[in-house]
Amino acid sequence: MKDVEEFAGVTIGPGTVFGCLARLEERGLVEALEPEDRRHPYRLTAAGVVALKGQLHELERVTSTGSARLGSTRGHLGGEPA
Amino acid sequence: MSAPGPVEQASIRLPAVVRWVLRAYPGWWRERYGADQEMFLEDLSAEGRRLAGALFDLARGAALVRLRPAGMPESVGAWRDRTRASIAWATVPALAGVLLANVITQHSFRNSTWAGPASSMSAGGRVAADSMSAVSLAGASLVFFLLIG
Repeated sequence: MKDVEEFAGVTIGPGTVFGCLARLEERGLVEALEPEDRRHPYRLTAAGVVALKGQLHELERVTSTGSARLGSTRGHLGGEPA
Repeated sequence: MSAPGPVEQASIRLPAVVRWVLRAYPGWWRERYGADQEMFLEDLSAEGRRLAGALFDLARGAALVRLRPAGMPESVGAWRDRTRASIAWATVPALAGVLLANVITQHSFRNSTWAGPASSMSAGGRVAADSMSAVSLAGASLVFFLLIG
């Protein structure tokens, strides 16, 4: 959770975390491994990797399009193009 | 990805109110995620975070799990469906019976010549109101039980 807070800047509550985990597991995107010291580690499944790559690609497309359009707008308004 | 947090702390006693909220999750959930969730909360507590802020999120999570049970084992789902069917089979005929009794009562009181004590509502009306209350209560119970499974 610290990791998520650091790179994404959002705080996720314990109810939300495990709700997401259950949904991901139900959709076959993550799977639980054998418990280590009472807690279950989880890992991405092959389908999870594909889904994550797809999401990242989509985000990349949106950010690059947004950046390009923002750049052209700034240029149009007399600002520095990105 | 590892279910959440460092392991260096020994078991920390969670506050009673947190344990109480954790019990709001369904049994199958506690069996599956309960230990991980408790350890996660213990980690948060060990990091010095206030768990009061997590209470609302936990309560919301418990409500969502009950309404949209993601990850529920098929066996539990089958039991839930069976329970719902049993409740429906037991309650719906009873509701229909009460409604029928209500109609008969109203009809028979309307046709009788008996005049009860003066009041704002006739005896037939009172019986009808009582039976309608019973129907409403039974209906609400049915909806509640069907919702929580």
